[in-house]
Parts: sequence; structure tokens; C-alpha cells
Amino acid sequence: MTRWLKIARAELVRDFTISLRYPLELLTGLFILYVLFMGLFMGAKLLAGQQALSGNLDGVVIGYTMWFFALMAMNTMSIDIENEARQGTLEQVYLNAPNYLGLLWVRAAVHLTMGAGVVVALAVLIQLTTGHWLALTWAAVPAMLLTIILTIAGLCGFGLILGGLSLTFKRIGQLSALVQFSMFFLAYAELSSIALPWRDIVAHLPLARGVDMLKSLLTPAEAYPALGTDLAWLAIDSLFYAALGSLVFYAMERVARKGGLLSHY
Amino acid sequence: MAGVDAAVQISELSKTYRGLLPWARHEVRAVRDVSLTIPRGEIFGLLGPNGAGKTTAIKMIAGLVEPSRGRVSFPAFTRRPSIGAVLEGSRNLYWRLSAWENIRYFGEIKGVPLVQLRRQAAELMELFGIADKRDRPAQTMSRGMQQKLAVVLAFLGEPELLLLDEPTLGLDVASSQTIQRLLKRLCAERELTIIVTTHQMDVAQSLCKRVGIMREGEIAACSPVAELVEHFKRQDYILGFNRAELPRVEQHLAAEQVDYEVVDGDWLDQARLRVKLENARAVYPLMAGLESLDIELSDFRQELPTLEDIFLSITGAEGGAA
Repeated sequence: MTRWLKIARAELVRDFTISLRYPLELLTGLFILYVLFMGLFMGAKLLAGQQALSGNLDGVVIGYTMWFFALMAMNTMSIDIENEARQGTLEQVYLNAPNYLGLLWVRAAVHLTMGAGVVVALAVLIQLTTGHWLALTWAAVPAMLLTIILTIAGLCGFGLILGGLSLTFKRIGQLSALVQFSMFFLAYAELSSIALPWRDIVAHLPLARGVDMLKSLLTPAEAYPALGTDLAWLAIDSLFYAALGSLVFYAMERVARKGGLLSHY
Repeated sequence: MAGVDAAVQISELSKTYRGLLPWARHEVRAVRDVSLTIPRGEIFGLLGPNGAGKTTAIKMIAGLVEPSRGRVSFPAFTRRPSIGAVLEGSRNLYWRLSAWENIRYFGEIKGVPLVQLRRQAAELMELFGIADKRDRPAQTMSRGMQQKLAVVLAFLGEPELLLLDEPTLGLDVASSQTIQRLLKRLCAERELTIIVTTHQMDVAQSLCKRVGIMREGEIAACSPVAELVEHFKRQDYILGFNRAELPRVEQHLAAEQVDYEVVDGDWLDQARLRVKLENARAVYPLMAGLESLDIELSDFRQELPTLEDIFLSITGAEGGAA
């Protein structure tokens, strides 16, 4: 087994152990996510009415689950660093891991894979409660999975920018909150209803294009001729965010090493 | 001492911290031109009051802080040695994980095979007396147990260089002595190089072969402990005799213009004086005088300075070695 696979296993075992040891925390987290969604759902129903909402429910579910992934990516790449610095394990991890940036990517992959289980459970629960089932076809699954993976990779890259800032400036809670709030809007942005050139700009921001593509993939009645082009753009955007995030993180890490800030909190 | 046997070679190492923001560009010179050579297999102590630069120096050796100037090299090794460290004491642990889970996590990210990790964990936990705490979450352990677990983590993967920042801080005497004993033993068995910072002079004195005393970022003294003691040795002697003889002895010393002080302490019927002589030869007339008075001595010895005395005289620190 290669070193990085061992690291992935170590991260998986650690996360799983903590989740099982503190099941109430896990269940409370799930319950809050569920209640948040139901609040969102009821609010939308009140504002739009049942008829208008039923057509958009796929969008509400997809937007919400992708926002959940965005929060997980942000947490792994930034808030977890702040927590590690606070509890004192950050330097120890730095000393033991072959490369902290690499470890963060592995950690994100593990967290988000575990999170996918939570997302599936949440999505089933939401569909059971609302009585509305996503029109998922097996044929769309590979393209959906690829879209989700690419979107998340971009989100992780964006999260790394915050992570780098967190490594150097530590207390970035307000900025994180602002970004999480912005992600919520991006998750629900209707690209088709935004005028040019803003549509193109928003489409290149994290999350927006991915959610838009997933909504289209969930509408089997409509053809999706631009899937290839959209996937290509999504891949380019995600690669850009991943590279930018890694570069910013690397630069901030150097600043933190120069300033002796790794252990500060 | 320089050469291939040097495990750690530090050359003109300096660190100046600067504020990150343009309106807070204050500078703090934490370490200034520190040069040290630490041979393989040595336990080296870095001592100094708070803010002397010990932790910054040790973190520069670990690669966690980038030096402003100078360099750290490891001539005895063909590549960067494997480093184990205790930098934040019990805070180095994931408190929600048990001892074994912490060992498994840090061992695996360090690249230690799981089979080796199980064997090493059992051996080290047994040695450090925490084998029965294997499955207890770290947060439910005592401070001493957490500290021992932090030291165990530092030993994972058989490191070639161990960096310990205050490894016995806050421990009871027995736990502190256990850790010191094991460090000495493991250092000898594995030809391990250890750099330890401590405020506890007794720990440094018992553990370290050599110590460097830091003051305001600089190495103010660096010698084997025995040499430092010899260098700072004064001609102070302790005299012990029957308390009833104290007035006669004091009268004699005053007449001979010998500087002395009564040593505090509960000695029952015994009086103790610390006599400060000009040189070693002054012992003879002192003894002759006491003999002429027919004073029977119950104690007579030269008082050697402790590392704490040396530390205080070098750093000029007051109120202990903190």
C-alpha cells in the first residue's frame, strides 16, 4: 500500500472513530441539516406555492446537497486547520506527514466520501418527507458523478485559499461565514435567468455551473447537447481553483513558517 | 566536534519575527547567531528564561520555523533525519482519540507499517507505564499520562533525532524521573540524538551531557554540565558541628575575617555554616583554627553550584529559573 493510501486509511479510521465515539454529535448535525432543509422547503412552498415549487424541487434538493458538500470542503480545508492549531496538533501533523498540502487533499477526499454517505441518507430522508423523488436515471449517473467530483475539487481548491489565510491569520471566522453564505447563493443561482455577461462570470465561480449541470442531468426529458462543453469548462474551472488554492496555500504556508505562526491560534 | 559525527550542525542561526501587517511592522529578534554542534547520540539541553529563544531554536531545527539567517544541517545523515518531537506537550494529542488511536494515526501518517506500529506501541506503552490506558480517550487521562503518550508518539518510527520542548513540565516527580530514565536508556540503546529544552534545572542536570544556556536569543554558555559546574565552582564550604559550639565558631571566624553565613534549615542540634574562602589553600588555616578550639565537625564538604545557580548567574534571572 502506498504512503498516501495509508494516510487515507489513517484519516478514515480517525474520522470514523470520532463519529462513532460521539454519535449524538453526528445525529444532531444530521438533524440540524434536515431541519434546515425542511425550513428552506417550507419557506419556498409558502412563497412560491405548491404548484410552482414542484417543478423546482429537484433544484432545491440538488442545491442543498451541493451546498452541504461546499460546507464540508470549506471545513476540511480551512476551519479544521484553525481547530488543529487551537488544539495543538497542527505542528505534530506537519512534522509527521510527508506533505501537509497533500495530506489536506487526501483528508478532503476522505471527509467528502464519508460525507457522500450522509448526503445520500439526507437526500432519501428529504425525498421521503416531501414525497417528491428525484428523476434519477442510471444513464445520467456517470455524468452526474463526474460533475459532482469536479465541482467538489473546485470547492476544495477554493477552500484552500481560505485555508492558507487561516494558517497565517488564524481567526477568519467572519470571512468563512461570508463565503459559506455566498456559496448558498451560488448553489441556488439560476444561470439561465442571469443576463450576460454576468451569467458567464457567475458560471465560472465555484458551485454554480456544477449545480446547474446536475439540474439539467436530472431532467431526462430534455436533451443536454452542451454536456461535453459544460464538463470541459467545469474541469477547467475546477483545475484553476485547485491550482490557485494550492498556490495560495503554499505561499501562506511559507509566510506562516517565516512568522512562526503554525502553532499560534 | 564538527564533522560527519555531528547529528545537528547549527551555523549562525538567527530569527527575527516581523509583524505581518504594514501598520504593525514591529520586530522581535528571537534568536541571534546561534552556532552549535550536537554529536550523534548526545542528549543536549537548551536552557533559558522565558522568551530566551529556546522554542524558536528547536522549531527551526524541526523545520517548522524558517530561519531569517544561518542554517541547520545534519552532517551525520545522508538525508534529513527522521524527527520525533514533543512541542506542545499534551496538546500534541487528539483528545477524542484513545492512546492506541493516536499512536495509529500519527504512526500511519509518518509511514510506519501497521504491523511494526502495533509492536512498537505495545513496547513503548509498556515502558512508559501507560499500557493499561491503551483504549482510554486521551481527554480522560491525567496530565502525566497525556505527557507520556506525547513522548511515546515522538518515538514512533524510531526517529534519529528527538526534539523535546519541556517534556517533563507539570509532571509529578515520579513521572518526570520515569521519562528521564527512559530517555537516557533509549538514547543509549538507539544512538538517538535528543535536544531538550527545560526550565527544570534538575532535569537538565540529570539528563543532559551538555547544555547551552540561552539569554536574549544568544547562547550565553555552552559546555558539558560537569565543566560548567567546575567553572562556576566557588570556594564555598559547608561546616557542620554541634549547635552549642556556634558562638565560639562565629567568634573565631570573625576574628580571622572569614566570610560566612548560617545555613537555614532544621538541623536539630546541629549548626551549619557556609564559609566562603579566598582560595583552596585557605582551608588549612581554617581547619587548624577549628582544631585548636577542639570543634568536632559533623560535616565538611565543598559546596558545588547547581545548574540552577549557574543558570541564574549567567542569565541574571530573578525569582528562579522561569
